[in-house]
Amino acid sequence: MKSIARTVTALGAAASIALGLAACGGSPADSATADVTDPELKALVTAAQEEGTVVLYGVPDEKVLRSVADRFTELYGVEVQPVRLVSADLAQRFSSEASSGAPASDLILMTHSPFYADALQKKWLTPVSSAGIPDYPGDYPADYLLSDGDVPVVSLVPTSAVYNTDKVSAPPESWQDYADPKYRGQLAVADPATSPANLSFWQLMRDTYGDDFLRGVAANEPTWHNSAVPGTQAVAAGEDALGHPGVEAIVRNLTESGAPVKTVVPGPTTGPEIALGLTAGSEHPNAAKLFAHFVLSKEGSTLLAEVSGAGSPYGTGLPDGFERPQPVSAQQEKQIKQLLGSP
Amino acid sequence: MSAPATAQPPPPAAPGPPRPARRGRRRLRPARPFEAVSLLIGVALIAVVMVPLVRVLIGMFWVDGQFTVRPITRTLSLPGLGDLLRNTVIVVLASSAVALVIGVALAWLNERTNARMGLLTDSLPLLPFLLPPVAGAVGWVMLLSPESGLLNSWIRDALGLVGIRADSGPFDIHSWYGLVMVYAFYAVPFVFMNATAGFRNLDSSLEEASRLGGAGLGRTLRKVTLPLVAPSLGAGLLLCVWFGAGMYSLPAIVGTPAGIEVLSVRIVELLTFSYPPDTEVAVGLSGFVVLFVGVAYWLQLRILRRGRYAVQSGKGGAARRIDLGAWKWPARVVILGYVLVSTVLPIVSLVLVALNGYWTPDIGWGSLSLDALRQAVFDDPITSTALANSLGLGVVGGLVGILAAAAVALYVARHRSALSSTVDAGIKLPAAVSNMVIAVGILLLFGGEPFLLSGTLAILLIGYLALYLPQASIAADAAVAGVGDELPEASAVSGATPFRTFRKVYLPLMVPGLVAGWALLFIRMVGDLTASAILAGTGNPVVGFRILEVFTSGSYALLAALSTVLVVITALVLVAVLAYTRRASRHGVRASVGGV
Repeated sequence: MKSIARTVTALGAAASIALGLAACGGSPADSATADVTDPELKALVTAAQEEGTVVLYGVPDEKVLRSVADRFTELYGVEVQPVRLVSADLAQRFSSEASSGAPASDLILMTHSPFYADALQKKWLTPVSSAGIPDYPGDYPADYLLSDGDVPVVSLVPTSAVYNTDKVSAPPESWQDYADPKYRGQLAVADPATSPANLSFWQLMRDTYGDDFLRGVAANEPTWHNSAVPGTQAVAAGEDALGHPGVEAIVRNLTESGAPVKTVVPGPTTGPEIALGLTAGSEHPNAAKLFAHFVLSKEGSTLLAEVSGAGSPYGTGLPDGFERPQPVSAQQEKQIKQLLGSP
Repeated sequence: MSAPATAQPPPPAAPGPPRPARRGRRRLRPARPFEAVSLLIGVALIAVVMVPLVRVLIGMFWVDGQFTVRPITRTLSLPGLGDLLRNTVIVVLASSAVALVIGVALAWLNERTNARMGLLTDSLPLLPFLLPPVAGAVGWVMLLSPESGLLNSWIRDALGLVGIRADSGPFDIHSWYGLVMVYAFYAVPFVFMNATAGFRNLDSSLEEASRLGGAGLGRTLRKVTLPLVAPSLGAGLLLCVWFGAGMYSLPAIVGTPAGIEVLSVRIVELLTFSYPPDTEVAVGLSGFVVLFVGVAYWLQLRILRRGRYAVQSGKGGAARRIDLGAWKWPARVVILGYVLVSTVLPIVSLVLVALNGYWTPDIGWGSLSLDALRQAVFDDPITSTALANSLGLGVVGGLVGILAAAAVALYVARHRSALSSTVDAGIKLPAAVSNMVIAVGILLLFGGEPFLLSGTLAILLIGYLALYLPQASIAADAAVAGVGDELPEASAVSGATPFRTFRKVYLPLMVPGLVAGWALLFIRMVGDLTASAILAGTGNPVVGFRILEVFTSGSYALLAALSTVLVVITALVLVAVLAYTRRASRHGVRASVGGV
């Protein structure tokens, strides 16, 4: 039974690799361009190329994952199969697969949450520090090595404001614009409870501007959405003038199509941190380690920051006044919801 | 009902004479291999859903070696629980009522009067079904948002011509009426399909007798036609309620911005907004959905058990259509007008947005391009594989599902016992439980040892069957109820085995209902998002998974492009199936029934 399932998976993988090859017109391993000298890394590259492919579960936008994946494949000749879903769905999938003993992913890039500690403790994830990744932690910024380096943060997604350029002549200069009465009935805001990072942002707003700011936002009668997607679309369509939070990847897609929409970070901000995890007992452990090595390197990290519009721990793309997200207590959550009048 | 066939010699295969049974029904035979197999199928299907669910329940109520009622107390003390329940009841009941009126009217006009326009009016009312709810919801938001809604903006332009100016409105999708309307559009096909099957089986001589007796069209409809098709209407209404209680995308996208929160949305939020998911309260809330759907189920059972409804009589009775005379064309205009509003408009908005690249009321008519469509569908090898996988799963899953449901429905109809009622209720239970909980349960059960189905099409098939079997089961129930007792009894008395009776009598007579059920399953499986989100991946991509990916990454244009392709493909299949069954029922079934 096991072997049949494995064969099916292998056939599937082979088919998709075949498709990839047909598109490139040559074996990716032969066309690897990276100049590797370090013997440890060299051994890892060879092992990864033998595995041939790596399955990545990630929350960043599909285009972002593909861009990073393409560069990785170009360097090392290893194919990447990204599965892109929101954190909650990925966490559900990952934990169900792991607890049934059949992990489908090789590594994950998910919003940092208690999930990681939980998964490490249950041995669903291999601690990154003891996985044998060449050069790790090396000169990786120490602030971003969580759980003693077992969970590295690879991307910081600053919360931004999104606005319709036809409706808002000058970009908002302060978060306090959200409480400006001229935007009454013109706000599309994601329910703060949609994610811990969102709550963390509103707590930062309370700490920075005081509770009256949140009351002011409530007085503008925002339209509450239960994810950032419909709100951003409504702002792009001109249904609303200002939206929150702005999601860089969505806005970039819209701008490419010509929609009148932009993001801006008008003041101190925070946002979700995306961490990396290595799936324990995965099918392509070496390819996963090689990919981790790439994303943790300055080159990979900077590329990820550039294509996603998010920040790199090395500094690229991090706005001034970015603060690491702080956990929000149940009490604070209740107060935030009350002040904002959110559902 | 006549006395058991004592005048005839007992059929050779029957070990004993048929006994009269309760409520005027009679047991045909004791359990036989065929019936044992039916029962086994039912039990297996229930196990697929129940085993994971029971595991979740045990995990909730049995913590650290002792029993706890914490999930119940936590659920009952949830802030705003009253509002949640009230909103859910209002939305579901209001939309079901609207859908019942519209669906029955459409089905009656199409089946019983000469307003029918062939395949056109057969298939068009089913179209809203083909659009995945997430795409339908987005389509309506893009049409009827107060400021930037395309339809609103067109209406304002038209009003501007006569000097009426406004910046927003006249409609707002994010409102009670908007939410009920969208729910109703999605519920109408359930009623329409079931009512159509009911009207088709109707013996028009009863209507004629009523007319000859001096009753008018309206009175005949009220006193004769509608009561005769009550089981079909009940089945349709039941599906509306179940569909409504479990629906997530519509209330999340349309209702949340209006401040209308319903149970299904809260359940998904509890499972997804934070880690770890709050399964306790999520499953606790599902308990209310079970209760709600249970009431609807009980009502349907009462209709079925009263037994005063239309069945195939075994006599000729070809259905004659009512001539509407001068009202024929106005009736047709009403049908087409409904289709235009409910279906064509949202699809047009999706196509426009797909071609424009993003949602805006100022469509750049000159610069529309097929880029998004090409990018989303044709240039993407995963999407092409996903399409093929979904269609294959829909065909196979639909067939397996409807045949299994038919076998179980027959078993239940012929064995009124505690066991059969349990099987019947068990097979319908998944409709009341959050799809996500079921999908996760299935992954836990079948993903690992000893099955190792994670990442295969087989696990998707199991997931789809588990999720959509309730709908198949209701369709099959109505189909079985429509066959009645006379013909199967005649078959049994003539010495046919139960399997032969199933093959030669039940199956042909049930074909229209079963094909409708198959089409329902096919469409549901091809457009499924919930099971796919958990069970699909790189090894087994399906369309629903791709749609979810493009929705969460925020591209309405790609979402629109992908949904449009999905609608076109499923519509072609649906029309082909309808055309085929029309012919089959006209030439095959009617002929053989009439020839008895």
